[in-house]
Amino acid sequence: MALIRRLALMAIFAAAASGAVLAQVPEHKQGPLTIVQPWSRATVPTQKTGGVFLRIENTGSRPDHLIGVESEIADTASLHAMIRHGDVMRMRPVVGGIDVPANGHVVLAPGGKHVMLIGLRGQLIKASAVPLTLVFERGGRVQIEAIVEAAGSRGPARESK
Amino acid sequence: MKKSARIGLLLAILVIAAAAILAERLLIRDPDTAQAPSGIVAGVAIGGPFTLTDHTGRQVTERDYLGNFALVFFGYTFCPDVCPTELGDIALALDELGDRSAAVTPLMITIDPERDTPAILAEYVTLFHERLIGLTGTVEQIKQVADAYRIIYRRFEDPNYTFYLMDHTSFIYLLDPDGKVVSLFRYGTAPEEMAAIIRQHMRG
Repeated sequence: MALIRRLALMAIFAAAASGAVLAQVPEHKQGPLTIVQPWSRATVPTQKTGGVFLRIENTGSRPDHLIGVESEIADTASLHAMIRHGDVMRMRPVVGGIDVPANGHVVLAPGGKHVMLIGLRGQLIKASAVPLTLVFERGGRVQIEAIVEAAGSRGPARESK
Repeated sequence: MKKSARIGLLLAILVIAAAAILAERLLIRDPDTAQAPSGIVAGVAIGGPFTLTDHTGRQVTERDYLGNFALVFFGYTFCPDVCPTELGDIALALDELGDRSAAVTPLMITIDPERDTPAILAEYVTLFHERLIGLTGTVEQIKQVADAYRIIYRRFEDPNYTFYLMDHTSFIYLLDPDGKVVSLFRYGTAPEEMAAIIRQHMRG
């Protein structure tokens, strides 16, 4: 009897633990689009800019297009890209949006394409969540929450899939 | 005749375009510093004296940091992507060095002195490492030190925005305790690699 109870308890703990793991990898699904693990970086009050990074997966048979971003947390949210020109790094607005290929994915990561928040209305505090709306040409508006990591983070530790 | 003239014109345009691209590449990527593998600088004068203001408002010169190794990064606080990545990597490289990290002083020199006052830097540096020192100065002082370190920076203004961005060379320099530049890390150098090279210089 004790053994069965112990096994049952273990099963409950295992289920809870796997639930916790899932909760750590936030995903936002809408139609064929999944926004995987959006994250940002901590700022100090005097800092007026922030970056948001994420992965967009598209299981649909038609490509989509990320055309805009909206956020209440900043005066402006826009799509930017880092362009490495020789050894000079340039950040520029992305003209014409970001392609999300059919049955494919696109990654917005440091040193590449990202969401830039300009005119932050508040400090981004580590472990808090930043609400954003991604606007897709086909998929429409997708609401997400980016988790704030440490200021110098390269991203949440990601398990390889 | 007409056709060959058109081909000639097309060729001329191509040649000019190629020359322009090449010229810009050469201008931006100085071959002296660009070709050294894994960033070891050989026979090129980089660095030198400077007078700046640190994030506590104190006037400093390069002499204040002699006796210790230094990691020198040029960036700006308005930068949301490359600069936090590089400063995060510096912090990771220092962690990687463990006890020996005390022998390395991390320095960030702003290339945006108009926005980056000592007070702004004082808050910013706390985000990355407890010993990170932020340095700013007058526009002339920054130009002098950036030129000495062969850092290219320029303001980029987009008519759609009310603010400006900075294009800049994203190098991290390693200075030895005599203040001499002994290595250069390009954007994307892994913190472990940085730490390994710093360790080599500590031994050497």
